[in-house]
Amino acid sequence: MKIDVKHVADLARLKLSEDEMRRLEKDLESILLRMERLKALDVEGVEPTFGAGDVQRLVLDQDRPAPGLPREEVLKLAPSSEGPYVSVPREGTPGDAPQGSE
Amino acid sequence: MEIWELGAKNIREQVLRKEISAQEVLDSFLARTAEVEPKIHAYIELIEPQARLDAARVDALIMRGEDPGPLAGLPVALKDNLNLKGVQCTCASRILEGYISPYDATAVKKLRKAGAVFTGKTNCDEFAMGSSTENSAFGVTRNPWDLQRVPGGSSGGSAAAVAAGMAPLSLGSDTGGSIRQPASFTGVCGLKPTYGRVSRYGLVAFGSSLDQIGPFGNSVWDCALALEAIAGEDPRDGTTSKRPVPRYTEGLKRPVKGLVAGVPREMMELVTDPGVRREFERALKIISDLGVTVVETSLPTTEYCLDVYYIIAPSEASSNLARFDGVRYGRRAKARDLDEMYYETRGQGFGIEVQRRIMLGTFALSAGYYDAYYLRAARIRTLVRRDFDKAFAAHDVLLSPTAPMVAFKIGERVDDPLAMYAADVLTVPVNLAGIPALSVPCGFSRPDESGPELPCGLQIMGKPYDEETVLALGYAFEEACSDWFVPKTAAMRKSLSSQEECEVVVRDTI
Repeated sequence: MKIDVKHVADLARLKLSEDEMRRLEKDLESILLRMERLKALDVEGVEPTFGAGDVQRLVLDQDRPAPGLPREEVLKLAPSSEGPYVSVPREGTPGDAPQGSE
Repeated sequence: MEIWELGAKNIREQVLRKEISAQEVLDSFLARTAEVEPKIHAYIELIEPQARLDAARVDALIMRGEDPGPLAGLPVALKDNLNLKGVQCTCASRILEGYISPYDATAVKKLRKAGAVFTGKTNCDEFAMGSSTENSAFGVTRNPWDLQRVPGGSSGGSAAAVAAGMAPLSLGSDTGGSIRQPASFTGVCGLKPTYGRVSRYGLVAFGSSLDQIGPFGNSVWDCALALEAIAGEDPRDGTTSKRPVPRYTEGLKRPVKGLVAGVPREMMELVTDPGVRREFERALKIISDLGVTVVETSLPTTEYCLDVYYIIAPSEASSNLARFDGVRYGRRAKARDLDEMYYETRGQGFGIEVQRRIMLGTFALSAGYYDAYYLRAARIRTLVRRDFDKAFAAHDVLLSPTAPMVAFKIGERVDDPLAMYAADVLTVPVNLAGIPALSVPCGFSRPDESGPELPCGLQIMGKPYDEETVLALGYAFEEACSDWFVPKTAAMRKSLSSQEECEVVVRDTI
């Protein structure tokens, strides 16, 4: 089983060093090799289980508006904010000065 | 005898009779913590000032003649993936650095209402991913029975705190064995309730279809008391059950005579430590002497459970952990643009095991592989559930060792993911099926001839929502073993006092 680690890391938005990339590639391949055993089981026509216990019913929320956490408390948790908003670096403008909390 | 040595049941009764105050109880546990925490490192953060306020509040209620709640001032340690308002919640990860919980988890809120006094946040594997508590940005927790060994994981800090006498009760979370396996490794009781029994609101999500909060205690009674306090329906968690919560402590003395217990032979084939096997077989003898019919049974899909689990849990984790992106809370890496911020924050903020699982899960859910991995695993999960349904049609409970081995040495498995995952082989089937299971100490094995004896656990698995039978059998078993188990724990705790302090070891890949 060959795995395209660079592609998977991109999907997961993970910056990995070359060393980390090599290590994860080796680890994932040995894990997936072990999982080949699962192919021996016949699951034709078997319904998948996505939940557990007797909770096969999904209870939807009432969706009634109710007060959430106070805005100022939530903003305090954000690494960066401006007025009533959480702020982030702008999208795709390389060359801007680095922003962030550290 | 010091207060911390009395056991939760006695402490609670003495507080209610006003013989001791909640503040005296807290003082005793804090003094014990000051003595042994430098050797164990069970806590990420101790919150003495808040704990003193909690204790004073309980005392004030008692003084006024009001009901302080069933826990009546009992100190409780919380795994650091549970939100406690006003206190940092790190999940043992650098990525949550500086995050202060703005709310209480439902289980925490219920415990507070029940009169608990929170002592602090305990160490764990990062985002509960691991079986040894070595994957923590805050260093390794040590096993009180042998400081060179792991306490198990991922709730290793919560287990070690109870084992070492630093707290009479603690909460952990169990996605694939993270309560039961550390309970087994540290010689305490640990309960994973039925999926849906305890609200997951405020528990930082790992594998949402598997996660369940549960207690650690020195006895089955202690676990029953804590479960009674935290169980129940919660509008904030749509997967919680409407079923009424039984008085678990009152059901403990139910007769166990006549119960039928099955021992799945496929689970026994996975036990690697001969000492664990020997102690388990001795436990079976004790259980049959209690009048329980013990018979061999079969769970044919057992050998596939670990693989199914290590597809489903990482898949759910890869989705759940997408929220840690440096935008709204926690750590944000320096970056020139938004994309770089995401990549750098997650690359720097997550440790290697969390990255490994995010990668594994992302892969299993990705286009071209979803059917072959995630969907196939979800179908096999149905077969696992059917196996359990079939077994429970003929047996009241199922029994196995909790883990195939006793506590291993720090560093022994942490660089070999498959060797680490193998520690969960007997606990993951329970999470896949969503059933309740208790680990109760059942004996000791000595893997090194010259080393100390290490505890091992008996896993009692029950039908969905039948915690009462599981606890009743655990209680009867414990009664039958207490004359030799309790003195060994007391001796371990005594010897801990004379051990030297241990340095905090933080692994460089964290």
